[in-house]
Amino acid sequence: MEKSSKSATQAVAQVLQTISGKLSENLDSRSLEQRLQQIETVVEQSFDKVTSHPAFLGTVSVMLNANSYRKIWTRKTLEAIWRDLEIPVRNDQAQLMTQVEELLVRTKRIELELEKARKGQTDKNHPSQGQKNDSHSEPVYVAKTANVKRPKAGLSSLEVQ
Amino acid sequence: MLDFQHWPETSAALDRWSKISPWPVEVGATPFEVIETMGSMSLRFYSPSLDAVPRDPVFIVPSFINRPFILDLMPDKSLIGSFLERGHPVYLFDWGVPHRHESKLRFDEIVSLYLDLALKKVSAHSGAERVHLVGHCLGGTVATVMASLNQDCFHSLTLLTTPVEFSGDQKLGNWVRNPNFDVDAFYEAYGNAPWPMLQSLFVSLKPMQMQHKYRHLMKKLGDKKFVRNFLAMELWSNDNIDMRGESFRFVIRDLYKANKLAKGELCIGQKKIELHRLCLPILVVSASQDHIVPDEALLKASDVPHSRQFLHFVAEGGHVAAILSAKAKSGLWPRIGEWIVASEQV
Repeated sequence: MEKSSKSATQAVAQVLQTISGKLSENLDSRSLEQRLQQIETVVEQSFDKVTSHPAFLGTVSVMLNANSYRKIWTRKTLEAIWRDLEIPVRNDQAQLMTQVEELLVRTKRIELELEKARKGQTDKNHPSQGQKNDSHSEPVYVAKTANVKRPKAGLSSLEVQ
Repeated sequence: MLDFQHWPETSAALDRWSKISPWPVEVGATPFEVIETMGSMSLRFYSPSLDAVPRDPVFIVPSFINRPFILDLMPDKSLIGSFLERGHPVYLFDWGVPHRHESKLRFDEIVSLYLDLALKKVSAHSGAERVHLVGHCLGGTVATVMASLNQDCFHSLTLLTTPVEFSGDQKLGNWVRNPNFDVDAFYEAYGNAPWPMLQSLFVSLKPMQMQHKYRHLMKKLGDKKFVRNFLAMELWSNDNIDMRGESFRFVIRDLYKANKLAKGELCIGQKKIELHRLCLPILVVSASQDHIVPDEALLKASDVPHSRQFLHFVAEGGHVAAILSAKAKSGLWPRIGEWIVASEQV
């Protein structure tokens, strides 16, 4: 039983090998590659022609616009109903959220500016203290450019406009 | 294309990869600390190598339509890592995944409040008076605006595949400039621009690239390093984020349609962004086969006549590969690093 199944597997393998061999004989991979590239070029050119045609672009735009108008109309209708029922609508919430976030960002900016001004003032009044910053306010990375030998930029071979 | 003569090898490679679970792709592995949060946005701090000579910080603004880990893709393929090795502390502005309500956040508010706070935080945290500003893709456009607003805060400006001039005859521009498309209605209906729509837009720019990419993968399936890189890139390119609604509207209406930045008509708060007033040393890096940001969309020396130094590097490859390829690692990154250090003396 085992022998027969083995021989069947071997037979199938032989057939597959024969097919594979014939295929590799018949198909010149280089010419196939070229043919595929040709097909790609033709398809791409045709696609370009279609997609750059004003009629195509016009139709796509009309479809996009129609969908946008439908969505807007649906949303506005529903919003009117929610507002009548005194239920908050998502659009207003979004507007509010944006304003709150903006306010937070503005606050953070002012805090940073104040910190900078305060630090500048401390440095001015107590120059010795200004150098002894506590670890929290000390800058993390400051390039010590004065003692650094800079490598020369090798730009000679670059395209320069 | 599958090479039938080498099928047993390919089959063995497939078998090997299928046994590894989960697949060993480690992205964005460089350790960092979040030092500030602003809604869904945050500021990351990457500590520099202790062996290197300490240098002034680099502040990176990545693109706001993708995840930022593209700049720190793999441990051996990290632009951020290259800055750290050179001794620069790196600060990265992470745009985060926008909340629904953040669709209402206007672009000028993001620049004048959120990015300004991030810049102030960088200054306070690092103690440096000036930093090097690096922008990638649309993040570079934002960086250009930031540099125009606060020139005194920066040593230099580096723009990696960054569009500044949006009026060119590019495929993407022609699509989004279509006068029939009502961007205001789109914004009002969707809020944040959904990432699947944006992704399909970019995929449609080169529709056969996907097929080509997988064909190439099948050829190189036995190469472990290649497969890892491929998986990491796929992870990044399919892990997109929604674009904040107001930012989307700004990009389409004010940049692509009105080209306000290049024309000098863009205003952030009360200030007008005038590129010709930029005095900083500027480095523009473009990709030789970029189908998203072609050469005509880049910042040119004539746009910034007062810049103390203007250099343009052309890296080989597409929009992303040019910045991340093995060639970029050995050629482009060291050059950027050298230029950044040298720009402090200009």
